[in-house]
Amino acid sequence: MLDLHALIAALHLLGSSWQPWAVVIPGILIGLLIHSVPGLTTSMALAICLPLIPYMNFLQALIFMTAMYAGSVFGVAIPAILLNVPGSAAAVGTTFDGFPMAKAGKHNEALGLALVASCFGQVVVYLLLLGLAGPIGAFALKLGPPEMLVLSLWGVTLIGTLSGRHLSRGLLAGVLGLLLGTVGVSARGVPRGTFGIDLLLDGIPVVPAIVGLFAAAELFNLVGREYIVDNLAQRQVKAIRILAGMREAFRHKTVMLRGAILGSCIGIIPGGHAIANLLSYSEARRVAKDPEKFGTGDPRGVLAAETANASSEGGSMATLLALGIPTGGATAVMLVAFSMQNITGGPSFMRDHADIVYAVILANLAQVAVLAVVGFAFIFAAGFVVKVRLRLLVPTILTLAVIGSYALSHDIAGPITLAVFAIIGWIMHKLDYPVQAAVVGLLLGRGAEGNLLRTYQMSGGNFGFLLTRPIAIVMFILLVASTTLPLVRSMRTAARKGKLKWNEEHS
Amino acid sequence: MPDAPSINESADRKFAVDMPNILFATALAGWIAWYCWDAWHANSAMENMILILPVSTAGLLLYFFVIAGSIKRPSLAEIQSTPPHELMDRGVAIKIAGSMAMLAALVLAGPLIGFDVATFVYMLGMMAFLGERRILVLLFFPLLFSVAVIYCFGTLLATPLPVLIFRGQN
Amino acid sequence: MERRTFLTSGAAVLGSSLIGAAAGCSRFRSVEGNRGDQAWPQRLLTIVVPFDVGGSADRLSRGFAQYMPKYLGQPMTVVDRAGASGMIGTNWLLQQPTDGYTVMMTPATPYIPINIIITNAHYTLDDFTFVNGQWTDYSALIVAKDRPWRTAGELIDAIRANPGKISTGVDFGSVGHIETLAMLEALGLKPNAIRFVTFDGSGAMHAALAGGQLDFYIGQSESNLVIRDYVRTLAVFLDHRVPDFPDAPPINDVLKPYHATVPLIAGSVRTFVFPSAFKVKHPVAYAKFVSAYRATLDAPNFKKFLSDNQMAGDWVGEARTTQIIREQFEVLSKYKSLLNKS
Repeated sequence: MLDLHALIAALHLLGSSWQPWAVVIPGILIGLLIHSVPGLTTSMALAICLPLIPYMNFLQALIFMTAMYAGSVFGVAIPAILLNVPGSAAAVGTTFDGFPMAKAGKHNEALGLALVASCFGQVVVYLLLLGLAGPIGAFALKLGPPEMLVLSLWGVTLIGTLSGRHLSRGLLAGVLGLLLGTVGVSARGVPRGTFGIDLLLDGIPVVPAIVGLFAAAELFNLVGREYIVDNLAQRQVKAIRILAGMREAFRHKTVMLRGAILGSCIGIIPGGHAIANLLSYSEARRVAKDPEKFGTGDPRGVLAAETANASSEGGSMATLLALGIPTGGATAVMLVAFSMQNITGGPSFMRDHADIVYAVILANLAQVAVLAVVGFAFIFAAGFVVKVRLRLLVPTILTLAVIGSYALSHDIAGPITLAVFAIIGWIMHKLDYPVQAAVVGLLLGRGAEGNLLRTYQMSGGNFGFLLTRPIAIVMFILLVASTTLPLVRSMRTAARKGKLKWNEEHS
Repeated sequence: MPDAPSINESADRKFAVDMPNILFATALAGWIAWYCWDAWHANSAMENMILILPVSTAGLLLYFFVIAGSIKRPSLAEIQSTPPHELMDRGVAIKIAGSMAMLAALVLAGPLIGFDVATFVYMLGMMAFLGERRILVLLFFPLLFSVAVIYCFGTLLATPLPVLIFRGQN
Repeated sequence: MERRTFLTSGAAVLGSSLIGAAAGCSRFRSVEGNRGDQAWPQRLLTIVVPFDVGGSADRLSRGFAQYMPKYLGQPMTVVDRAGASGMIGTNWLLQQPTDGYTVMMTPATPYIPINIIITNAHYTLDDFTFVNGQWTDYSALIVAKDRPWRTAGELIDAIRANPGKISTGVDFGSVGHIETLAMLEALGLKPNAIRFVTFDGSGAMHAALAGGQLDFYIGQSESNLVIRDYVRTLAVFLDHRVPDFPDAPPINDVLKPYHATVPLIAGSVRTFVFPSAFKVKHPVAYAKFVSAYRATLDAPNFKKFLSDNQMAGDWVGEARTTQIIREQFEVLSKYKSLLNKS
């Protein structure tokens, strides 16, 4: 499976000149910088990166782009932890435990955890790709709408666990999110729920909505406070505490490994990258013996979400690297980088350029080390955010978010969505409706509907079709098992306790 | 003054009605029902409704559960353990309402009068509103920030913004 | 203390509304007369692409932004305004002043007709000047490689023998979708003779095709390039064979034994598009643009750019381009009812 000849050629490519390496640090920095500022998005990072590509050779271009994505993976976690504003949809899971840690003064540790998780996730996935790129690619082609539907279902079950005190309110929030996610033009070409507004035809802009729900709502609440972290002594950026966080990560190796492998697998599935962090978080919580700790600032929550986020990003590169077929999002842009270098995608890509593919994978493994160092330094810069008075910070963040959402679409759809969802989010917060459930629903909505529809269409209406999709069946069984096993376990424990008690009372 | 449900030992224990929740839940349910109708009206084919119909139905069912949970006859133990419905401190309420209003103003005014001016005014207003009193900070921070933001978005990120005073961008 | 915060915020609001009023009054632009045309262009030109970064129109525009300023005399920049199948960007073009400093590069057909016919856009074909359809694509019928059908005829026979079993992927309202429906209708088959699986955006669809999860597909031949090793091209929607697919006959040849024909709807026709008012009000400036554009198309380095990226730079001319687009509009209008029935 490892093409040794190509591997050696790759090592030669990387070892013989400084040129491939020159783009690593700039790529990582761009990814980090853009994604750690709330309101800025990947397309802006691409606007900076793409014009530079014609000046590079193919290998450099690939390494530059993957370095940018590697930086982005950690970058999005920074505002998620410090401000409860995920740098992108992929960092939503990181906010669940990251922001509570920051509020408790443990921002250093949380950032250290996220950094290690990002690095670890990438190492795992790229090692997998190194050995198994071909088979992974071939496997990925077998995945279709039924498998993606099971993935969406899995995400939906997460909504239930995020419900907080009132299950019905949590589910209602999730329903709201799901439906909002489907607003726009349907597969039949008819607009739904758009009030005749053209700007809503492609759906509600997701990033401004999420930022509004999370950030503004939380920030409005902080209006009564002076700083994010109230305690002066804790409001520091200390290298020692960052390192402590990094060490803490290694105490939860199982959590990280599970998250990384899960994320890699989910990333391979088209559309999986965006929700991998949520699914990993939900699984980590499900198998934990003390799930109620999740959401209060448990390091395992941050680790599970971030390792999956990092590894799923690499997973989504699998079909591109192995087959030259983009599955959307980042890989589509990579294909653009290919074409700017006059290389087309397709399976011949791996055949003809195996040495370059291996070189990219090896370079990604190496650049994890660079990320660790650059990221660490970056945490210092970013961490000062907690020292800024909220009355300066709140308007700054909100302004950036508003301008960023305007710059994204060049119309007022973004900012208005932000403002509207900020107000909705605040009301939900006050009335004990879990905003996170609505966000998960929003992220899943369109995909769930599309894949449900396509599965139905592919089946032609008969259930026998599902028997021809063994992968989907296996996934579904796993999903049912992982949902019901904890229930069974707790029922058993309760039964055992009850039995003991009965024995005591009757002996 | 906390608004606790009245505690009567006798049979005429009052119902505790969580009005804000009922209003909000009703608004949500109203939107869900409208959306389902709008989608159905646009096209009632399976392709259009395959998710919206079942999910909306589930949502409306949930609405009734939520309402049921908001109108209940609390047991004595529940009354004593449930914290009284907190009314917000008036000052904080004003700050939050004001922040929301200013955010709305920024969003609407930005594209109209230019983000440079709107950002400056918004930042100035918010900082003052939230308690900043140092004149130098009030003036210079928004100024520097507006300039920096317009420059970064316009030049570095190649996403020019509508501006009023800041010539040289577009 | 509260009164003071009220006053401060009130002053802020008052101030901003005053500034807003002042801005409103000062918002008028001087109308350029014809003598301005001789000096045109005097500043940056913006190419708006109503699709996402990285798409074919976007890449072509970036090529122009690189090579055309030499002949135009001013720099050019590319701006993407994707959304609603091009409608958002097209609306944006029409909102800009008609002074020639904003031009659109887009697959004018099928997207502008589709915007008008299916998405109820507020513009009509007369609102635009179509400069030159330099790069045209065509539809092709492809099947997954592991399927047994070696010719289009075998596929059609299979569809007739197994109604409701064979699947195809469609992007609703696209040219490929309409061609598929037209073909079924011409063969006397109902739309439910095949399973339509609707995708939005072709990335996932091509992956599904390559993986053999769909049986066949009718769509733009260029976008099929990525999965060419996983599919067979069985027919092309042209009236002649093409060297790229020597074994794929023209579709109407295939359909002849079945006594059926389909209209050959053009695929994406990429062209520069101006609001029609620009050519009317500033004919001299328009002519300058066209000559700079033609010079670019003839430039050796731009030609190399085109061939490296597998793009075309044919000169068809405004009249013929407009005629093609109007013809397509008629065809698509006729088939709108077919879409609604499906």
